[in-house]
Amino acid sequence: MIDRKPLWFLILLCLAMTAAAVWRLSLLPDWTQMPMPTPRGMVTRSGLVLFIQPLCVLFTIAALDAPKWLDSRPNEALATLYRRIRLVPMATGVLLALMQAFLISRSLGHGFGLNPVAIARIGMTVTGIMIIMQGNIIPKLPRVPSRFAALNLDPWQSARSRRFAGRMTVVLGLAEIAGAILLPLRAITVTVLMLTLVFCGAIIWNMVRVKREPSPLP
Amino acid sequence: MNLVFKALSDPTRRQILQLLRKKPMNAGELSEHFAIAKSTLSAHFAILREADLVEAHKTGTVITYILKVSVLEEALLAFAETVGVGLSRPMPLRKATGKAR
Repeated sequence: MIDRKPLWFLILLCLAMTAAAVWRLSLLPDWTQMPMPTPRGMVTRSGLVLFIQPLCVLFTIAALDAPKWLDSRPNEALATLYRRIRLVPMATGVLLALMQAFLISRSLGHGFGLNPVAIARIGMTVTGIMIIMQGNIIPKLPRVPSRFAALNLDPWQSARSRRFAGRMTVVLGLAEIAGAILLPLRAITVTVLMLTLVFCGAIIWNMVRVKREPSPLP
Repeated sequence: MNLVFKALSDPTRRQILQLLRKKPMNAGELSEHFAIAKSTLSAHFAILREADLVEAHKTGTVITYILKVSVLEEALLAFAETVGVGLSRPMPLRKATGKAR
């Protein structure tokens, strides 16, 4: 399990965000018709959009717990891994909570002075910075032995694989920042999604390639 | 971060990192590339390990070193290599390790 502090932080954040979403929906006569002001005028959205952020928090908890599930046994490497990335879930949680607060305040008619496009671009840029920071530390993360033979790399293979993954993740973060600044808003999501898929594919392909090569370790 | 800068400021240590980029090596294999005493090289390894730039794996009596640099450290290494930090005035090892002989 991930470190207790970030875990409790995320659980409390998820509960608070869900409670805020339920409270907002309770003010509406019809939860499927939530008013949402946009630059093109007032539109209505389903109230379910307010549950996307809490779900993302739950996904973050699950994603962080994945190494534990893949690991063959409790070990020191896993504890070190969680110690090193303990700020990642907290930063992700804060970003998601800010997005949730922005959505609710907009639906309540507040924050009209804020340009939603600019907010989205700032959000994308911050996400890009977070991706770069995560990518930077990937090569430093300890090797966690897996219960699946296909995922078990020796120290050299693992180091090479993590170095490549780190570089790819940093490039992805840079691409997201560049996209947030330069691309039209509609194109950013598609571009980032496509790039993420391509980079994830490249990381997996590299892992398979490295595993096939004979290791120089004795 | 200070430890990383200190480790990367020396051309010998940078060369060690460049060699480890290709494949993991033990102290004996690395020493073949340098015309310096093994004890001096050992001090360089200690600095690199202290800066968390290499990982040591012990198999029997042989210690194999594996490169462990973050993306930023890799960029710093490339920058230091391009600019040639420490090439004109190599840092005396005694000063770099902080140990009196």
